Amino acid sequence: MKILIADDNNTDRLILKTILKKAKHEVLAAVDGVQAVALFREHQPDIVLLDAMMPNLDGYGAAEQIKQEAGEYMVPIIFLTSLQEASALAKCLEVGGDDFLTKPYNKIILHAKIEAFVRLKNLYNQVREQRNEIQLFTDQMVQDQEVAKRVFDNIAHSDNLKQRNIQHLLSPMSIFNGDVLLCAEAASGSSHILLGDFTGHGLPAAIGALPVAEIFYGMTIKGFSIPDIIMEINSRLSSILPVGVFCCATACEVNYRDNFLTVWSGGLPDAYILSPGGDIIETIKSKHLPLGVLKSGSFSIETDVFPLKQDDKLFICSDGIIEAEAPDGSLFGEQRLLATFEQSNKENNLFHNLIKNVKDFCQSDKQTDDLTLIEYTFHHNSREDDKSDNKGCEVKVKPLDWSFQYEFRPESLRSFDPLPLVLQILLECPGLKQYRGRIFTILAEMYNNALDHGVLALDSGLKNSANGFLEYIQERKSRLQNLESGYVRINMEHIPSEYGGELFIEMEDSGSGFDANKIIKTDNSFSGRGLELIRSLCHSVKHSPDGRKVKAIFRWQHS
Amino acid sequence: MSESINRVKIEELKDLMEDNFSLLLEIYITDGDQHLLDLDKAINENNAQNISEIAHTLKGSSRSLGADALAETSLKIETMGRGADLAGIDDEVVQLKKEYQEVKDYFQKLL
Repeated sequence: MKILIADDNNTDRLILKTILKKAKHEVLAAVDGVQAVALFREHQPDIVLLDAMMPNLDGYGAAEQIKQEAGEYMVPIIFLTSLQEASALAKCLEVGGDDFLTKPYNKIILHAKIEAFVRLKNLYNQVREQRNEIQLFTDQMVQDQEVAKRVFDNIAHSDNLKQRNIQHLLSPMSIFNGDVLLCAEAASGSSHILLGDFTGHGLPAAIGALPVAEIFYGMTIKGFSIPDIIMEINSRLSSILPVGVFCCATACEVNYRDNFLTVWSGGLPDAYILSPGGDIIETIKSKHLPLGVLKSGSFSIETDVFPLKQDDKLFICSDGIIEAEAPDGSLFGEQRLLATFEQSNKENNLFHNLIKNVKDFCQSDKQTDDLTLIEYTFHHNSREDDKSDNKGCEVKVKPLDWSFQYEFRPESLRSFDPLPLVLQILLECPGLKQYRGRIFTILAEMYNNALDHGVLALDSGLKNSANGFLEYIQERKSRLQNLESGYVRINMEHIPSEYGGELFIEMEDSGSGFDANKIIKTDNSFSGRGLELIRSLCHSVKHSPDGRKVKAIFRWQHS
Repeated sequence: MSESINRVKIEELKDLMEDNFSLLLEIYITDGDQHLLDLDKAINENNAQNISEIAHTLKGSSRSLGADALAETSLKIETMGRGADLAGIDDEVVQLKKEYQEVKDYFQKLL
């Protein structure tokens, strides 16, 4: 140890110095307080022994300065004193002294005290070092998490949530939460929404959210439907997540063309469709196990379909609301949620009421679970214009000159949605990417007409009422299930032109044909809109005399 | 004289100081002579605080070197100085000087 001693008494200082040197300590000796502080500054000794009464600066003054100088390092100060009065001893402690040693020195007591303080000092400094290490580690971790969170937020929480018809809350318990809230515009013009809640919190829970977001956005933009997307997410999660980690989720497609909602729900609390006034129209119960639990073979992508009217509201939340905990341990529960719907009936501020009620109930800002909810208003005009027509793209590579033909037979028609496949092939032609939304709409309309009205011979008149629409969906499902023969043929050809190109789309089906002119003239509601829509988007649309073949020409230009 | 020195203490110091034992005694005597001069001066000036401080120092080194009787007398003077009650101090100083001389003689024989 390096020990600083300060004593103005020459004999006492020499004796003390000799005792310490004999015990193999390195000794710095000062004759007064001023010299003691200077030596301390210069040599940073481990322990300081100070005589209380010294000229110039006494031991009390020196102790104060030395403690200040030492900062957060521990430097024990032992007062050397023959003073017996309690008040003088108390003063030694007040100025930061750690112990006393009475003169004349007793070697054994002196060594015992020094050893005790060496142990204490080592322990203190060890704790201090460990504390600093932990602090450093924590800082690093928080910093890493913040960077990761920015990446995560960019992937998992899209700008689409900023649309006017969406109110949402994502409130993490830590920097990361285990909740994902995704929203995207599909090429078909529908909205896709997914609210997911991973088991656990923090980083482990957030990691699973990344593939979910990637698959959701990637497949949505490629034109896949919610069941296909859910199937893929489940398959990915079940292969990457450890046992016991899974994702409760509700995924929906809001179809703006035919005004209905398709829902797949696994493990989340009930979702609700509310009337504009706040009455519950539908309670949507979870029918499936969470994502990531079942292998693809036993996983069901069966969805429920509900009609929607303008300004109906879709409400989905994670279990953080129902399981919000009051100080006495009771839970917010479903009843309070339903009461909040009731309360918000007239005022039309369900979202804010609910958040306020949950906060009031918990009586603290500290949350016990990730709290995530979305209120989505079904409103035709509030959405931003077709964002999927990707502007500002692309090198002007000369489009390819090609054609291809596909024929889909019953087995394919039953289990396979060919549109994403076809769309992907078309989008290989760079100039067409900017027309993704339009081309998808044309393809989807033509294909659905060919399949529904051609191969399956469904009566489009059925779709005219909300109930009829559900019936139509049921009927379509059952006919498709029992289909034994039939086909849809897709012929496509692309010819480049000086300014862009011409895309020829021909759709042929095995049905008995129909009179397109008659349908358009007599039917101005849902079922007719498909054909009108195609006509409005294409350069020309022609039906074959037997009504089994439609040929559309889509002309496009470089942007 | 001999009973005013703690011989056990002296033996301990010899063991401890080894080659520096003589140095220690020399320092004690040099400082002690000076202290007595300073003490006379302080008494002439009637400076109670200085009297107390000088006696305190002499008491400390005397006790460290086993000069117990001298240390006791030093303490009496230190206490008088601290209390600024100097009545009878001259007698104590006479006693102090007598004891100091005995200690000094004894130490000089050990050198």
